[in-house]
Amino acid sequence: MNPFIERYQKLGYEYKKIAPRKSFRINTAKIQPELLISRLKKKGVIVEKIPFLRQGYWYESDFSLGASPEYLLGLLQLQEAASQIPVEILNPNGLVWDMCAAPGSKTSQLATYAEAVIATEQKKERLISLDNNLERLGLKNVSTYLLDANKVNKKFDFILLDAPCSGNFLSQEDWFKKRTIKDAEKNSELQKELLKTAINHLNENGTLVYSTCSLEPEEDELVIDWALTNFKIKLEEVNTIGAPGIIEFNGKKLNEEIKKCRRIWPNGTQGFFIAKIRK
Amino acid sequence: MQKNLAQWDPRIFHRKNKKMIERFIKKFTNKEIDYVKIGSKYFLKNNKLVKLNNSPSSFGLYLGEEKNNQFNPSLALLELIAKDSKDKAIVDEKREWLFLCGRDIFLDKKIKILGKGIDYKLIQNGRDENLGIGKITKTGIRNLFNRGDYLKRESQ
Repeated sequence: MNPFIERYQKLGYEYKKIAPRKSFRINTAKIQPELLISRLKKKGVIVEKIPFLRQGYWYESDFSLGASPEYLLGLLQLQEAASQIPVEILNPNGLVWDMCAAPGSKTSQLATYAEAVIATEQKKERLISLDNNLERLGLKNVSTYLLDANKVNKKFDFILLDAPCSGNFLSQEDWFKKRTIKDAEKNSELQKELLKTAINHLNENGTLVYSTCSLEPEEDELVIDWALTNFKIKLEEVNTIGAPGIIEFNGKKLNEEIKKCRRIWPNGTQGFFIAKIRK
Repeated sequence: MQKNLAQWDPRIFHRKNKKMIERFIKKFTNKEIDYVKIGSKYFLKNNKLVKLNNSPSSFGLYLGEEKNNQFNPSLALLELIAKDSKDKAIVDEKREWLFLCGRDIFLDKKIKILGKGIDYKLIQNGRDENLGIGKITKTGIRNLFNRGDYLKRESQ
């Protein structure tokens, strides 16, 4: 058996390859939800509200919604359901920093909650795609920077760290063939670095959401366990779908607080891990 | 990022005395739009935005860019000025799609041309949502720049 599938089984998940349902988020900066929904229904799109999200909808259509006038007009953002959760959990109301921002689905979602967003990204081509997205969606409160997160000279009350990760078997064709456990271990080093930077840039009593679309504990619970050991932070309950974070892995006991995190196994959505940190 | 619109008519897009963005906006509306200029790019002014030490890639809503002594408006700027402009052409759903696909549109009874001042018109759908900009010719609307451009950018 594949070592990934074997470990998922040990963690309580029976592997099944089911594609996530197609979903989008309404851009409330441009249109009221009921108006967009009625417009899409008139075009024959089958739309269903996602119960655990504020502006998320599942849909089925005979045409590509990503090439529709509604998309080009910036009335909606195609965004996978689970990937909409981290921003809702952060729920920022002031200035927020999106640390690894491109391609910008979460950045644009943040912009509909927060007063202003600072978005940083290290890769130029990804930043261009982020800027295009923001323009299409007509968002007025986001500034973007081609910048290493370490060079940001400011502290924040709200930070989103949607960290670069290995992804999961639904995010890429032949994912199991292209990844090894070592990759996850290697990624966790970068994730710890980024999390350290995030914590250092967080104001006292500020809120930080750490998320990945990886299912590997090395990139999820073990990163949070490391942060709880090394920094003065607390975890807060993540109230959404999914299972509690695991507190034992490969015979190692982790901090019990990690139960407050959420591990979302693929089941109609992408896989995701979300932790809410308070300084 | 945008098409070079000046190739169709330098009168409207070239610099004279005023800032190029202001000259462009004035062609369509008297509405004042507060903007900030960063390098060669213009952005909608927003006092809530916070600056870092480094120069931003974008700073709020992108309105356009000066390049080679020409102003290239963004689709966001077209959308912004369309709200108050009288120089519009309203198209039906079928022509909306054709226009977004980059096609020119033949004039017929189903197209409503508003305003008299200039040949350039902001192209709107039946809900008065901006699709882009076109130039009225004897036979139709020449497609200069449209929101289908976002798809082209995604595939680059």
